[in-house]
Amino acid sequence: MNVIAERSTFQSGETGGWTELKVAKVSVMQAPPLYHTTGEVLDVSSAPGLERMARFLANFVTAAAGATRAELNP
Amino acid sequence: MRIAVHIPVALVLTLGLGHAQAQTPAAPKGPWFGLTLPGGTRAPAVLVGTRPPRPVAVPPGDASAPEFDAAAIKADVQTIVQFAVDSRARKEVGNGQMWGRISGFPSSDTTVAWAADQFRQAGITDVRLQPIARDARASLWLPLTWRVTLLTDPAFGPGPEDLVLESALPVGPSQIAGGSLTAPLIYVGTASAAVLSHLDVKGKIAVKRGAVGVFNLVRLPGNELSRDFSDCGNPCLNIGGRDGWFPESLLDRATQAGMPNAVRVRVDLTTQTFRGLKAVNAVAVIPGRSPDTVVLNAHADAWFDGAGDNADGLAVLVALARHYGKAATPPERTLVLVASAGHHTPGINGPRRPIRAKRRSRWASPTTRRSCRRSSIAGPPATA
Repeated sequence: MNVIAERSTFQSGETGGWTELKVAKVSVMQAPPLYHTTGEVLDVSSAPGLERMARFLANFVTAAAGATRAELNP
Repeated sequence: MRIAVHIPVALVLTLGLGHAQAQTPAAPKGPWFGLTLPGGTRAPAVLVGTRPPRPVAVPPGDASAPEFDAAAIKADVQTIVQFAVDSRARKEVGNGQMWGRISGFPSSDTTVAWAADQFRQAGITDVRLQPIARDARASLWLPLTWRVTLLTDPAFGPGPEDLVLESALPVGPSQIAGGSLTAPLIYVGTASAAVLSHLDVKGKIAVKRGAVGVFNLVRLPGNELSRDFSDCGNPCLNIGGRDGWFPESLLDRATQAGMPNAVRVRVDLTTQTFRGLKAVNAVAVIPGRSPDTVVLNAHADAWFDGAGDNADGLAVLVALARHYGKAATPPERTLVLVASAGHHTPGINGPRRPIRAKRRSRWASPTTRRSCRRSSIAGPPATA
């Protein structure tokens, strides 16, 4: 995962579709080498990785839901 | 963030004759000069070993959360992947060589409907399917049927038969008038200006210079079909790892044997450009204590099985729906979960649909709005 820890106008993945809202957006994307190929099969999906990501996002979303607007979009 | 690891080189189909000079002729010792055959596409690129991945270590203090159980989320990934596998089996596109959860086709709608059902089962009462009106100017090119066949020649050795490159995948907007093309292959490396300066390219090589097709040899493990690298010629086809190595080596051997123009290929291709496709999003609203909204979005559509793009993302979104849907206390902000269509289909912008719907009627249904402490649920004031 490449984390861009600063403000940017770059919009990866699905975030471009939300541009009209003009709010802070965060995209979490992991793109393996076999992206967009027939190699993207179930076997290469890590079950523990799924749980880690779900737990991380739950913490992140809960924090975002409780943050001030200034904290979300400084 | 996409990691750019594809390193394409190109083979060009030409109608002319190549100019490469023969080196020391080598007598073929077996079919196809004794080269190892690519072996089709059944062997996966990634072999999963017997050692399991590192288990999850839940930080002390994190509450038990069965909705985040690794096996449960993986099972949902499998369910979502199966929607794509089913689309292939029922030949949703052409003869089933191309498949996925393609927005505008039943596989995508089935996936979104499944997500909506999971949202409801998570205890979320405000769940809707949003139809998406496609941009009338947009179109989706798809290959329906195709076959790339290296044509045998007695000079290649004893007994070779024509060889199908199973990992070949046409990319848009390839077309072949009459549906079939046979031409000699010429190797052009990376097709850079420096490379082409060493070749007799007049009227032969690049599309604009008269070539009749391009093969991109995609340097990836295995022998996978690959969607990226579009619009590189007409027709343009991506060739997977092992399949790509084979014609490249064959051209070397044929050139060494004094037959630089002997390698010929036949490409059969039918395509269709789809317009006026329709799709749906699934939108679930979990009322919060604040009128502000946090949107969680995962796209539901995919090319091929799409386990990583984006079955895993959608499965995690469903896990989050179960987490927040069962919460005893509402979140501070309202949460809107969107399983969207159109990430891969031009003219169907899934996220844009809920934004525009929000402007007309707010995120939530009237019932949900009444359940909020304030009178309405809205996004940021700038656009509400």
